[in-house]
Amino acid sequence: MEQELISKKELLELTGISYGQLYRWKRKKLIPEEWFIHKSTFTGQETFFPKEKILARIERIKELKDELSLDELAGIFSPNPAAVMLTKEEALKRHIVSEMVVQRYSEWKENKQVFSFADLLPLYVLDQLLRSGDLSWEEGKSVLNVFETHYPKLQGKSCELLIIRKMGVTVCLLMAGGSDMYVEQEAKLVAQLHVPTFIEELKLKISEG
Amino acid sequence: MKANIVHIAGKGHVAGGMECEWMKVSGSVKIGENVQCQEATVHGRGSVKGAWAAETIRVHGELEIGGDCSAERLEMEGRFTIGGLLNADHIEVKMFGPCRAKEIGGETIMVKKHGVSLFKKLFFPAELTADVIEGDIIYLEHTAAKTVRGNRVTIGPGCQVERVEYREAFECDKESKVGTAEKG
Repeated sequence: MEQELISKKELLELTGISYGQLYRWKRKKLIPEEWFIHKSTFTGQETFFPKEKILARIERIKELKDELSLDELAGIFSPNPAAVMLTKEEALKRHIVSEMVVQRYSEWKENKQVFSFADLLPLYVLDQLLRSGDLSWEEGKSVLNVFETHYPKLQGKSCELLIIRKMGVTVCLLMAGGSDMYVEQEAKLVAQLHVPTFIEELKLKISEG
Repeated sequence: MKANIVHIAGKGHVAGGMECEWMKVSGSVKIGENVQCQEATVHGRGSVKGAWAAETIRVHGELEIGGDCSAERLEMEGRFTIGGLLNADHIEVKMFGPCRAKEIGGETIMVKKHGVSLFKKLFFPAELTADVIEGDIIYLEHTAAKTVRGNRVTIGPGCQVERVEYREAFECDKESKVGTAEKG
């Protein structure tokens, strides 16, 4: 997948941040090492970034940096799940899941009351999907299943959740690393979700409470 | 190795990595892997095979880092070799001998040369070599670099820079050579 790049100079101009800030954020791991792409140009060594990702990230940092410390921000952007345990009530209070979803989930999971980050992430994703009306609860169970069995293997990697439906049968996939995907004509791509985005949002919701 | 306070007087050798709050070395220390600490003061020689991350690093003497060096503040008097990126908010270097880093980045970067004896001048010239130096406020003396980018860039005496890119202000000493200087 060819992604559009932006040079460091253009980035600083566009976002209005300084070299000092950029290096500080790099040091604090707010911007991942692998986004710094070194290339030789006719004007010497230049650093490039994946344009869409870096612009979105800097926008987020600028929004949040007054409220949170840089270390707290680093925790939000890190791809590793935060070590948290929330009760049902806490999860509801933070608007991570709706009452209906959490009720059904805890019934399904033999009255589970305390949720780890690994439990909350698929629930949060599912909640969004159910809200949009793209998915039914029965289909949603397969989302939860795919996360439960396969997500631990993708620890720290960026991945996408794909939901495909054909003739009323729903299939749920977790795909590591982005790549292009083509679906046959009769099948419908119900949802394609970038999981790290949800991780960020979820961490933010958890830390807000 | 994990510790609160590390104090080495004499010679120290750590085979693995080191994580501590406070570190003081009078003499020399060699560390096989990465170092993470709050505050470090080295009088003598500090050698780290991996990367060194700290809040404050103060060195009088010699510093050798295989990987990246990151700190809020780096105060250096002497000479250094850094294999990767030197990344610090505030970098202050007084050179007593050859200094080398692949890249330097931060907010304020001040590199000055200290007067040395004729012997040292001939055999160990106090000079900084780097590929890229980027910062908001940059002052350089006796530096050879390919590219210097910054907001306010001052090139002092004895520099050789292929390309300077600046935003607000640029000054260059008469004795220094700058290939191209571009405002952008």
